[in-house]
Order: sequence, then structure tokens, then C-alpha cells
Amino acid sequence: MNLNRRNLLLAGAGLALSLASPFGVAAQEKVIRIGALIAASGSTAFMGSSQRETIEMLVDEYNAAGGMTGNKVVLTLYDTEGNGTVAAQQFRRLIDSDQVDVVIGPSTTGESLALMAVANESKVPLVSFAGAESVVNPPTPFVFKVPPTDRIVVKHLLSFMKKRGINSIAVLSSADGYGQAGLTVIKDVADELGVPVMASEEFGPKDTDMTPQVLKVRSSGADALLIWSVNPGPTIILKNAASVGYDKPIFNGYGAASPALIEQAGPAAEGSYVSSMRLLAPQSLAEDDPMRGVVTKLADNYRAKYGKEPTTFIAHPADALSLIAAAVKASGGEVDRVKLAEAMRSGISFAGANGMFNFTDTNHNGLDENSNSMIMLQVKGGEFVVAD
Amino acid sequence: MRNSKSTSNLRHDGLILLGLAIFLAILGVTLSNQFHRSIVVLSMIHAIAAIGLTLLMGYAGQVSIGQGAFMGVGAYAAAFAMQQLSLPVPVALIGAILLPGLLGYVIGRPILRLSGHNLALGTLALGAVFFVVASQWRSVTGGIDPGIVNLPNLGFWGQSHETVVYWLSAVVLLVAAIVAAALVDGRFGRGLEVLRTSEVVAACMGVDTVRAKSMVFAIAAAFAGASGALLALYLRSFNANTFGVSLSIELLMMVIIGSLSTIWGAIFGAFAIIILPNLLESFDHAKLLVYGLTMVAVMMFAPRGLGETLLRFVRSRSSS
Repeated sequence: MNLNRRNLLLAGAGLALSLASPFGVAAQEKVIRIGALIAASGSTAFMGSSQRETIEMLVDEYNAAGGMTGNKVVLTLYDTEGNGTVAAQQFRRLIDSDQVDVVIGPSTTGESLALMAVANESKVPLVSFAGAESVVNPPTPFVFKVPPTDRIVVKHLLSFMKKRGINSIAVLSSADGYGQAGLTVIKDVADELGVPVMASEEFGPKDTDMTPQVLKVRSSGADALLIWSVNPGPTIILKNAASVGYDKPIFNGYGAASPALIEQAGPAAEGSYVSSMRLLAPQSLAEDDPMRGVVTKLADNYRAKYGKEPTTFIAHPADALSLIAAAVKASGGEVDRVKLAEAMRSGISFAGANGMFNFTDTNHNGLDENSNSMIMLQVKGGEFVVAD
Repeated sequence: MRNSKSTSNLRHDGLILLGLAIFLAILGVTLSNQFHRSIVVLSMIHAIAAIGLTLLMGYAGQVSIGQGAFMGVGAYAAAFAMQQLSLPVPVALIGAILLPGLLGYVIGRPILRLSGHNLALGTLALGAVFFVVASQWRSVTGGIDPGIVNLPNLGFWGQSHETVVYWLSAVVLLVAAIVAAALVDGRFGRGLEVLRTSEVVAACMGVDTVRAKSMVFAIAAAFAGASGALLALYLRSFNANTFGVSLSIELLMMVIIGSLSTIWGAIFGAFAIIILPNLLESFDHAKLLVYGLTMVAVMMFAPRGLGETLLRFVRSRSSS
């Protein structure tokens, strides 16, 4: 009995071993192995599935153009299901079994935090798609990220509001990681800019009616409502606000910046604002802006290949791959984990889809308020139009 | 199946235990790939909670879909002890066993008045309540963002963090298995088995059913707490999402896939449930579908648990 069970377990382990063997490519060819951890299923699949498509599309594009400084890109992509435990496991699989040189992802902040220690100790560069600043602040040697931090977005939002004569706000945020991180930053920045937060209410990410919260916001007398959540929360709040006759301006953070907001909220979205990355409105950039070409190309290629509207989430893998390509170039086409991270730390600049990046030793996000990342959009006539 | 010739299985269990110890030691020395190690570590960690659940479900017949919550309590207790009270790891680990155990006993008394489907729903609700508390009590848990971050690297004397956690988990798993085997072998275990068949009969035979049920609930919670604390030590960063309902269901599957009638099944089940998704990665988009179909097939063709059915199959082949 004892022996049999041991055999079973060994067989299982053997199977795992055989499936995990890497090296599908001829040894002589110069390659860069890129690992990707994407939350392609589970509750965050709305981000992950389009990110996965983008990565597959872009890797083909890089290879068609001769790879990254002569290195053919070999992609290994695993689905983390948005689960930090799975991500931790897959990360070790990428660095040890698949021998990747650099890892992009994971899609969410929680998963990224779970990988930081391992990335730094095993000296593998990780380019995360996490929104929260805790991933790169304080900076650690091997961890980078490409989406603008919450703080940049909130500063953009609140400065815009002040320009429009809005002097106090009410906040509705989701009771999940994205909402909690955002709320902390909003209170921080509001304090700094002197915009009092008159009311702040949370709602469950799966709630179906936020009328009580909207009524509290209305009675708080704040000049505007700021919603910090990913869809569908914002959609429901817009509808609730319309039905109780809330007449102050409503602003959404970048989590809601997607065509789905207009599709789902319909006329209730009319007049509301969304702080978005440039991807939803490439026309907002000047003709000669270096970012314009990058954003337009990415959006057009995605539309052509998959036949659907791109979301802003696809900018993250695109910029992560651009960062890696630039780092490979900076280290003279030589692919090495430590050298790639060193290159990323020592001043890589490029025009990305999320902004004008400038990675330095102290800024592992490469972006700040002056990176031209954000644009304020307003819903007019069922479409996003540029508001500033 | 537990054999009926002798009243004690300890000799038999001891052999399995020895085999398991040798197996884990060999893996610990020979596996150099971090990914393969991580599979074994996570399997061992989950097996500890699954053994606890086997005692509760398999022996006492009480369903729980809330074990993930007790893993969470253990994880947060360990993190709190190490980060905010600066206690050493062994003390934190003991705290992470005692606190969920105590909590399990206190909660167990009222919740075990329920039975069958109602108990399943009650424990499911317990998990949901835990999630809300863990995501909102930010001064202790850090909320969902950032949650608990930067637990210490346990590496010492040139041994890596992963290696230390490997041996620590192996030791805790073996101790947990010994405790569980000793518990079910004696009067307590026999009482539980009667309890599973009929509470009335158990009461008539002099088993204090309320106390026995609460005790086994507390023991299962304590096992889950140890498991959660080890998971926290291994991951070093986690938030409430780690201990959601899906974890409780995974634990349930480990027990069902393994075996409901022996604690060794839980260990088999834990390895199976942790390894399986990694084997299915090549199915790409169809991964979840294949996973689901596999589970359905196991339920249909091996309702007593895959581990136990395979064992019976091998036994019948070798005896014929």
C-alpha cells in the first residue's frame, strides 16, 4: 500500500516534470524568453483576456520585425486566475522551468505584491501591470510597472476639477483592492490640493443598487461626485444618480474608462467625466506628438486583428514589451536577467501608450504628472469627447 | 478501508507515515527546480488543512465550506504576531494554531446545531463573514490593498527561504498526520464514526455528541490555522482574496478526491488538486472545462474518492 501510493505520487510529479520541460527552440538562435502572468480567467478576466490577446499579437509583430535587437521573442504565458497563490507558483515555474529572462504581469496589484520578494531575491526583472503605487514605492531593484499610479490619475482629476471651480468632492469607492488603494490616495491628494472630501462611501463590487450611497452624497452638499471603481459599479451609480435626479458633475477614475461604460449606462452616462489613458482618445494628442503614433497603431492593430474595441488595459503589455525591447537594445542585444534590470534602472526613455516614459533608479514606473498620460473625457451624444 | 480484524490501525498508519516521511525527504533533497518544489510545498500546506477537514467530514460527518476562513485566521494571526508583536516564528505558528482552534470551538458549539445542507450553508456564510472582516479591518489585516506585505525571509545558514519553508511544512504535515491518526484510532475516533452514522445512537452509547462535534470542529480549525500560517510564511504577501470561498471549496475537493474514510486520502487529494491545474495549462482556453470534466468523471467513477478507488483497484489486482 505504501509503495503504491508512493508510485502514484511519483507518477504525478514525473508528469509535471515532463510537461514543464522548456527549450523548444534551437540552441544557436539568439532568443529572449519572456514570461507572462495574466489573470485571463476569474473575476479579473475583463482585464486579462484582452491583455493576453495583445501580448500574443505584439510578440508576433516583434518577431516579424526581426525580434528585439536580433533576439527572437519566445513567449510563455500562464493564467493566474487573479489568485496570488497561483501567481507565486507560476512565477517560479517561469523562472526555473521555463528559464525566462524577464516576466511581464501579473495583471493585479495583489498578485504583484505577492511576487515582489521572489523577483528581487531570484534576480528576475518583473514588469507589472499593477495600478497601485505600493509596487514601485519604495523602488526595489528588479520590480517595475507600466500603468500610471493612482496618484498621477487622482492629481489629474482633482486639478481638472479645481480648474472648473469645483471646491469639494464626495467619493464613492468599491470595497475591493482597487477601491481601497484609490480611496487612500484620493484623501491624500485632496488634502494636499485643499479640496475637502465631504462624504466618502463604499460599496461592494457586486452590489446591484447604490441609491442609498448616492443619496448620502447628494445630502453632503459636495460640488462633485468622484467614483473610484472598475465596472459595473460606476454604471450602476450613474443610473442610480440619474433616477434620483443628482445634478452635480460626476467623475470616474481610470478603472471605468472603457466603451462598456457608455454601452451599459446609456443616457445616464451623458455629461459625466472619465479620466482615461490616451488609448480611448488618440486624437487628443497633437499630430506630431510621439505618443500619438504608438497609441493609434496599437488600437488600430488590435481592432483589425480581434474585431472589437480596445480597452485601456491593453496599453500595459504593449508598454511592458517596449520597455523590454529598449532594455535589450541598451545592453547591446545581450540578454541577461541582471543586465536587463540594470538597463531598466539606468534611464530608459520612450514614447509609450500610457505616457512618455522615463525609467530611472528612483522612478520604476517611468511616469509622473508631466508624462502626458491622462486625458479628461466627457460623454456627449453617446461618445467620449475630450474635455480639456 | 479501515480493517476490522484489530481495533488499532496505528501499526498500519505508522508504516504509511514512515513512507510519507521518506518520500518527502527524498523530494526535499532531490528537487532543485523551484517550481516543482513550490508544488510540493503548497501540496503539503494544503494537505494539513485537508487532514483537519477529513476528521470533520469523513469521520464526524459534518460538512464545512468555511475552512478557508480558519486558514485565513491562522495566516493573519501569524503575520500579526511576527510583524506587530515581533514574536519569533515558532511562537507565531503556535499562536496561529491556538487562535483558530479556540475560535473554532466557540463558533462550533452554536453552528453545529445545524446539520446537513443547513450546516454547509452556515459554514459558507462563516467564510463570507470572514472575508468582509479581513477586507475591512484594515488596521490588522491591511485590507485588500496592500494586505499583509513583506513577511520576513526565513532563510538562514545559507538555506533559502523556500528550503526552510519546505522542511517546516513537511514537519508540520507529519506531526498533523500523527495527531490525526492517533485521534481517530482511539475512543474519540470511534465515537466520531458512530456520530456520523447516527447522532442518537452515539448519544445512547454515551458519547457527549455536542462536545465531540465542537472538539472536532475546533481541531479541524486548528489544522487549518497551521496550514494558513505556513501559506502566509511561504507567500510572504497576501490579502483577504487568498482565503476566499474558492479556497474552502478547493479544500473540500481535496478531501472528496482523496478519500472520505482515511486521513491519508487528504494528502493524496491535496497533491492531486494542486498538481492538476498545472498539468492542464496546455489546454489553454479549455483549461477550466477540462478541469471541470475531470472532476465530474472522478465523482462519477470514483465516488469514494480517487485515492481510495485507485488503492482498491491495485489491491484487488494484486490479490487476484
